[in-house]
Amino acid sequence: MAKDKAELLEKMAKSVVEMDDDLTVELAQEYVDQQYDGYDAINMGLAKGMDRAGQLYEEEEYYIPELLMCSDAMYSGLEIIRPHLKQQERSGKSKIVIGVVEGDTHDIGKNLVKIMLETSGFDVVDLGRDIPPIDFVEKAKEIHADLIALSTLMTTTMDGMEEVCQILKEQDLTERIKVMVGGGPISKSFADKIGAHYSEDATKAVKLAQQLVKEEIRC
Amino acid sequence: MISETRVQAVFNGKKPDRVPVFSFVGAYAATLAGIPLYEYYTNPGLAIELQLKARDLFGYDDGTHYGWADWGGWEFGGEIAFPKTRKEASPRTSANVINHVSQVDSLPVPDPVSAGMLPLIDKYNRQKIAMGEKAVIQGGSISLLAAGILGKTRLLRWYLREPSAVKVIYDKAADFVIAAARATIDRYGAVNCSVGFTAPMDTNDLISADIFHKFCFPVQARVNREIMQMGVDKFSIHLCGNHKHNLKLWAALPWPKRMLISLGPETDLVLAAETFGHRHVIAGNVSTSFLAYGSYEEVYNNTVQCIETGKDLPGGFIVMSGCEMPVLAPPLNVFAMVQAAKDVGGYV
Ligand code: B12
Repeated sequence: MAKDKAELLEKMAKSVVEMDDDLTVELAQEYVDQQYDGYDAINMGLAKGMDRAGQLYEEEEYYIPELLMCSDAMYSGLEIIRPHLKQQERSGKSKIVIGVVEGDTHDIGKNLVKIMLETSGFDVVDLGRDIPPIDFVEKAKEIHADLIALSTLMTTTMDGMEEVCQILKEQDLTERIKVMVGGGPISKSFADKIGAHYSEDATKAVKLAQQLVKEEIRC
Repeated sequence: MISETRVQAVFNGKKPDRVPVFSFVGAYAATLAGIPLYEYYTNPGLAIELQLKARDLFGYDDGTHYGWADWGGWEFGGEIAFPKTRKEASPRTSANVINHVSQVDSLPVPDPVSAGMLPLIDKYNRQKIAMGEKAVIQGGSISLLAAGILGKTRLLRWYLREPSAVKVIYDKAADFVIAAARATIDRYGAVNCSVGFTAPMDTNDLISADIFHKFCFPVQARVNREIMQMGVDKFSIHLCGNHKHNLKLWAALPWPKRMLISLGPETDLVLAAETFGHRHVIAGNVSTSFLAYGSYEEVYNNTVQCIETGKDLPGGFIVMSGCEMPVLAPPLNVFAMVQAAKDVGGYV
């Protein structure tokens, strides 16, 4: 018998938390076969699962390998759902350019932030690690990004973040492109000083990004 | 007391005049000399010379270091990028070796003399021996080599997705480390060698104690046992990052009776000393963030705090930077550690 929508959503969330790619795909397929709303599948199913996984990480129940497996399950469900999103839902997403600043190759935290942002419906372009400041700005201009998200774990490379903010200022882009920063040595006061916004972890980064694109926070 | 006798006293279980200071200055010596990091890392003789001068300048108590954490990739056939600028801090794997499970079984164990960083390490060792000091053997952790071979994120994912392939890689990495140890011992003699290693990929910032137990623990046990069987009994390990949940497992590995265990600021000194049973010398764990961009006072106060916590640990204590000295640390911050030890580190 066909499962109802709420039941499918809950099962999808659970299969993401339980890192089960195959089951997530199966449930997502069943969901689209029933012609339920695609956006809800992401928001109330897949993303909810990822959100719970994030909580388990904070509680030291899950670690990075588990989170990566959850995100694999989430992405495999997303593949099935994506073609069924209404056109407007697909193109209306806010865009973010993310990367690790020049000189630094610590990218595990950045990868987590990227996963959480994508899960929450952002269109994320990942430049990778060890990225010169100008490349962030060029890419953001090219794809009309709303936000640049910068990560670093080393104190020696923090000034790369400041440089990105500086270039945006010089090019008069600070209103159009907001900057979000994070990583071990980064603090709110550092972010304030360079004209960026700070969040301490991947889950909070999502909330911050949502506020920033809604323009609730101004520099 | 001079540095050497001060440190020796700690290792002999005696109280020195004051707590020794290990600054963990490696590549920072190149900053002090205004020399590009590239030159430092590719010229071990220069690395020694600059570190000795830096030691004279500050008056801390540790000897020289050489090498870098991100290894395994280059040695197994990948690529290394030496730092072009100072902020890059250290060499890093720029191309990994394995992209698909099908490549794992046929991955050859590299030559234990000529692979990757080993010829550079040997240049360093030759000079250390000429100075009457010990040659170093890179003992791991094996997870670092696995990360270099696979790429960090792929390793983390494969722990759960491809566990048998990961085990094969750990075994090959361990075979390589053991063979390289044997080559060094054959050349310089076991009594003239010491083992050093760091474990940033095993931190509980990344993995659970379960994963550490399943993958790293058994092979690291084999590596330690075999190297000790070859007659080496000088070990120093650096537990980089947060190892709170791994400590019991680390303590359960085969170790010599006494060694140096240094800790990052994220791991509690007393908890580590207790878990290892108060047999070993504990070193740590001044915040590298303070050292890099804090004020003199912040470093000084943090060092005082570490000394107060560690000074009377039964196995002995050395106050030490929580990781390698950040390459852009203001020089007075390094001096702040030494000054704090002079001011409050004395034993009566
Ligand atoms: C694993 C590790 C490595 C691995 C990196 C693997 C990789 N590809 O990422 C290896 C072994 C290669 C490595 C190398 C080095 N490392 Co290292 N490393 C670590 C370690 C132990 C854990 C880092 C980690 O991945 N944590 C887990 C992730 C999930 O956490 P996270 O990155 O902090 O991310 C979270 C938040 O910060 C936030 N966040 C992160 N980015 C962003 C971005 C935005 C926009 C937002 C909003 C939020 C956000 O959300 C994330 C999830 O919640 C740390 C210790 C530590 N306590 O951090 C040292 C550490 C970062 N390393 C350090 C150093 C010095 C080095 C080396 C220079 C060492 C050396 N001498 O060889 C080299 C650097 C090479 C280079 N130029 O890049 C120092 C940095 C000191 C400093 N303050 O400058 C640290 C802090 C160790 C220490 N205690 O001193 N390292």
